[in-house]
Amino acid sequence: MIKNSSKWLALLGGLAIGAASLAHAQDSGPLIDALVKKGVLTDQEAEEVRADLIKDFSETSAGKLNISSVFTELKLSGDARVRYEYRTGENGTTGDMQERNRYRYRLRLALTGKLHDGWFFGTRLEPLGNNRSTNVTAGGGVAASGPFNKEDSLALGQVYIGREMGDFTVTAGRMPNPLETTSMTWDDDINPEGLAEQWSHESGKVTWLANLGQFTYESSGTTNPLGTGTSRQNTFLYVIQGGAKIKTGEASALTIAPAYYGYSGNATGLTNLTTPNSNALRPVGLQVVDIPLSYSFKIAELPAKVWVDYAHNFDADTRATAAGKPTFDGENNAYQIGFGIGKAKAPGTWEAKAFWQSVDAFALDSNLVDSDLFDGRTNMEGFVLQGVYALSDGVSVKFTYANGDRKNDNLATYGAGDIATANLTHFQLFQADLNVKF
Amino acid sequence: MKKSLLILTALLAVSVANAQKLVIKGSDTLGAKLVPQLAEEFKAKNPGVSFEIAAEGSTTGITAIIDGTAEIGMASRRAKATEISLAKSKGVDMKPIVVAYDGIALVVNANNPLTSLSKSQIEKIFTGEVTDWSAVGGSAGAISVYTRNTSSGTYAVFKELAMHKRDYAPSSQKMAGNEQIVAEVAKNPNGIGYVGLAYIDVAGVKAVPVDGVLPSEASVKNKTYGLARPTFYYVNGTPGGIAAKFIDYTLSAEGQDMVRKVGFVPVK
Repeated sequence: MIKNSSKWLALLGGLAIGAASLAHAQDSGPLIDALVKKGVLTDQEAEEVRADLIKDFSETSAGKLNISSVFTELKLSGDARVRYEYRTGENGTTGDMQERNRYRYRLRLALTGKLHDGWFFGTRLEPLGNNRSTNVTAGGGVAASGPFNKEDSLALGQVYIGREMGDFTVTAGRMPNPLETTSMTWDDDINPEGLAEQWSHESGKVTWLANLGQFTYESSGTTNPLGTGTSRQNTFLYVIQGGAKIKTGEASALTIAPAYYGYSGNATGLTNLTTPNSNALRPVGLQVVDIPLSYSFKIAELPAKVWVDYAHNFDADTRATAAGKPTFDGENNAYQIGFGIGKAKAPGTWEAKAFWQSVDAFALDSNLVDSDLFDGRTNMEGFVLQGVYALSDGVSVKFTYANGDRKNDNLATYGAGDIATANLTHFQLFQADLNVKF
Repeated sequence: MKKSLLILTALLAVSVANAQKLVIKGSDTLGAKLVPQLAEEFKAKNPGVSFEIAAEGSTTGITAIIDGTAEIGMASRRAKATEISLAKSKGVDMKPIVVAYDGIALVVNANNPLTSLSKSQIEKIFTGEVTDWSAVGGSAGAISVYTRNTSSGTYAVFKELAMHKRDYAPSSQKMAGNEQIVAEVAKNPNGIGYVGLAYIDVAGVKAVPVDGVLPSEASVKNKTYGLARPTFYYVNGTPGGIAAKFIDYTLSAEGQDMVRKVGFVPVK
């Protein structure tokens, strides 16, 4: 049907090379259309070229993938990490030092996508650790299965569906944390479950933001409200956050985002506060206002940031009473103050940060605070140093050192990490990570 | 007697040899008017040839080529990558032949005062973002959207050309063919639908200019009409026999005259 075969073959070859480099034959459509418009190809020749490119593309590995046409974007991403960790803690009751050396690894694999009309979804597989850890410990589970035991099951770390409507975004499911926050208040491994509504609007130099969260904290299971037993209700965590990011210069900005955290319900799976050495303490007596404030700027072309995160629990007296320590109702403040510089992204670049943190015993929800830096405890204060160096695109090493002490020796250190005591009087942590992010 | 029997047997043999049947399936746009008329003319010139034409949508035509249940698949859209890959996996070398151009015309009731629509307005109407004529310069009234069904090539091409591939409004009503759409729009003063160029000269409906350009032979051929498209025969490899003759006839001057007469735009 095509008489001028040499012209056609030359064009086909050129287009095929273009299509291969773009990894999608249909990307050549506009080029073919342009050649038709210029009279280089007839419509019939163009259709044959299109069909041949698709046939050729279907022979490639990528061409054998059949991705649903409902997606406007589909992204595979994640990270892999190997870690050496040393942590040590002093048991204030016995005076013993406990220490632990661990070699750990993790993989997080995310598949996220965008659909038409602002809809999006996300999934992420993570090792089945717990809500605040995605690590697998090398050499674990030997007693049960011998060495090199595979204890690394994958769990659904994130599953969420949402929709963007202009400045407004709604997300439902188990999602990345939608709030402006720091490690003092939220462990960054936690993916809250429930509903989140976010609003962000840019007006001149100010970007206003509002975040609402209705998270299912604990499901009460089946109850019998008409029977003789106590009626139980799901426990929810409600968050209301408002704030602004204000551009103060070409490369500087101030961000403030006060948030209120409140709880409802009385599901009973969580542990009473009178047993302080637990990683699942009831959220009784918590009405927390958290005010993260940061100022980003540049120092000699390097990005830098100073920040303060201050939190106050307005219901600390109830929490102190629930813990059997009613006279300690003034243990209601927490703060973190820090400085960071650099950005480890391109090979050879680096970043470093340092912060001081002080958390009163009844100031925060000990189920949410970072599980590593101060062993997942409240009533601790100390400093953290962190450095990251980019070895290659997506490959970096990270070193973390934390050193903390019990803040009030008349109270337990509420919450639990790896040091098995309710009276953690001194704690140190060192982690060395090799990360690959893709 | 023996001689008569021999003659009868010879005549039967000749008639069986001449009784060739061409199976064509696919697009309603091509198969409702154009191809049947081409077939009638072709039959007149080729006695003994018969046709089986099933116009149930482009998807059915392309599937028929992949499955080998037709020799020609009519399509008012390009074969999808998945269809071409599937064909290849089954050893079918699917080839497109452009037989005519068409413009997808927007039709509204003849009494609708609307004088033009932009592509953006069309997208909003067919996705359901706009539900009242007053929002696009018409008289107040709830818009009734008529579309083709999902096996139609026009359904897919319209989504691509006019709707940024977005989904049709859930309230849209799906019709089996072009003729059903014009019939509904002619009855409904608030109706809007899309049909091939060959279906706009119907009492009770009028075509609306798109971005100021009316669908016509000239605007389709010079590609100034934004909703223009080629239409195809799909075949397996290089066809032979009666299928090749019919394709040649379709592309001949006489066949292309028929293309124009039926309301399509000739390729030659």
